[in-house]
Amino acid sequence: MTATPIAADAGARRATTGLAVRQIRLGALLLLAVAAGAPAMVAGTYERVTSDPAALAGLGALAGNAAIRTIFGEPIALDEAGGFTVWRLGTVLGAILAVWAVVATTRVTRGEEDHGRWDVLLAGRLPLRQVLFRHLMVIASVPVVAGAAIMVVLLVFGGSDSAGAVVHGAGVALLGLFAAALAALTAQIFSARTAATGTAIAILGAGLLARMAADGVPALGRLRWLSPFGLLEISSAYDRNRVSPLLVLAAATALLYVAVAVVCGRRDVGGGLLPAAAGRRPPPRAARHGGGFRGPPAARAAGRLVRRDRCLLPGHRG
Amino acid sequence: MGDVVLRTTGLTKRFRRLTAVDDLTLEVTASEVFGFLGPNGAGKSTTIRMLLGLAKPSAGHATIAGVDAADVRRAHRSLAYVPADVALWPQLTGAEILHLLARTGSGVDLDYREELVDRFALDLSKPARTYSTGNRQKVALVAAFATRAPALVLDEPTSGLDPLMEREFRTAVAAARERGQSVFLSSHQLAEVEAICDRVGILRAGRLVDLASIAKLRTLHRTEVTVTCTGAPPTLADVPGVDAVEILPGDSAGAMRMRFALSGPPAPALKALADADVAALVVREPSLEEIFLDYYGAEAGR
Repeated sequence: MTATPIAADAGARRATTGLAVRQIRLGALLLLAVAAGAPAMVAGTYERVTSDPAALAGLGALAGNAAIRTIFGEPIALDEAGGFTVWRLGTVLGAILAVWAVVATTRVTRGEEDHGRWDVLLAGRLPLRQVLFRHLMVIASVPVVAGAAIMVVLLVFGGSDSAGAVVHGAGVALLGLFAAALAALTAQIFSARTAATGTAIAILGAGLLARMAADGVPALGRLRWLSPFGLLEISSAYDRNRVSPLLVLAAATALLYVAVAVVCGRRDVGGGLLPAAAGRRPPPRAARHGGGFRGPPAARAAGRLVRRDRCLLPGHRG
Repeated sequence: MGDVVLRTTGLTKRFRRLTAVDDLTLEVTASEVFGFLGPNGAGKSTTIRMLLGLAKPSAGHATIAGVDAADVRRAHRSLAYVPADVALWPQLTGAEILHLLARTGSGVDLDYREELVDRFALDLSKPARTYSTGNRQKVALVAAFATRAPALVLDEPTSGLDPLMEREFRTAVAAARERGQSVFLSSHQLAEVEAICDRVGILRAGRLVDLASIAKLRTLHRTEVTVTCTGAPPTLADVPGVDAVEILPGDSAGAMRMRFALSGPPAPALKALADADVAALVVREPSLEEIFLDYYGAEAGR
């Protein structure tokens, strides 16, 4: 009651941050366990694989397989535990982190707005943009910690190339940040969570396909520069350790966050930049909880898939 | 009249071709309970969202305690809000939610909040996912009434409350008024508005069709008078203010009964009745419900 406005605003910011932490902490802890545990396990198998000539030959054949190359990316630096781990896990961990970032972001931003929980929160001292960015900041901390965890595991188990560990850890963190920023933007554009999630997942899926196409068809190699997964790959951890693709990914992520701030200021709370489809009134909130699909057909289809499967994702509360 | 706490000037909201709120101008002063009446879809919630800065007006503007409603950071220091459909965080307990809302909202009187929790019989130890609609509403009401914000904006706040809790709600509104807080109460429950509001604004299809005190609103409308005469019926046809004269079936004693609508001063009608042998006279004031139906017609008054 006696707090100054500045102190009260700071209290409101801390309370909002605490709320965001409460909403994602379980899923985030599970994700971090996977991010740290999986590379440790894979790196731990490296000695066994390389000490067995038959297994080594099998690995060589596997790495040369065009289909495997398309899925896992170009096998480089397989002569080191870190390079082997990055090849085996880089795409998979990146995809898991990106999907978690998208689902968590749309759930705690657009989903909360959609449910009407932000009505009482936004009647408080903090404007929409600050409430939104408090939540995004908490979500963004998860890929950063996940990237740091991967980096530490690779530094310990990955061999002598510490630069490779740093490049790959930073790359995975940036991929997660990019996915969260993308989802935050689609959550400002669409007024339904499913459309926001579906669109972000569809864009990331297209990015993964572009990287796969680039790996499968040499003439399409430049497509990697247009894909966050491709940029992660051409950072060439444990080989050339290139920083420039990561800078491109960082710049794209920063641009997305700027776009989020701009679009968020141009819309009403509860609505998106794009109005609901013409001729269709938004269903009441209670009905929307069951899942109303708005947005482009592709986004709606992807949204349905995500809705069906998201209960399996860490941190999902329905 | 006290200081103006809530003000809208030419407030308008358009969604494509639909005008949800059209040129709304009104003021709510300190210590005033203002009823904002209208059927579903009239634009009440849209107006409230503009007052809260959650929706941007297409034209006009609103102020809260003299601060532009769009300046949320400053305006919301003077405001507390209860939404129509209260949604809470399922994993948080009632106590945690009150703590959260106290930290994010305007200042809270903690002693009064405890008193409100008792009065509204709220169990704060349970997680919100176990709360009924009424309990969720009670959490939001306690959080709002416990503030000392000059403006309380309540959007259909009693739709999930039982009659006992409605009584507590009315007591809390009266206490807020005594403390000098102004209450902006959106409702379509006429009895509630009639019981606790000082003034009322009636919204129809986004437009304010009347803005008056409850008493004045009633005087704008016709009173229904039923007369029982034992002698010759009075001649009322040309009496000023008398309309819709209707002869009713006589009573069991054979007395003649008639009914008419009276508007404006009753003196001419009383003079006309004085010449008749009036055995009984029943004057019935229209309910707010009937006044409401006058504005909206039977279909909208469902």
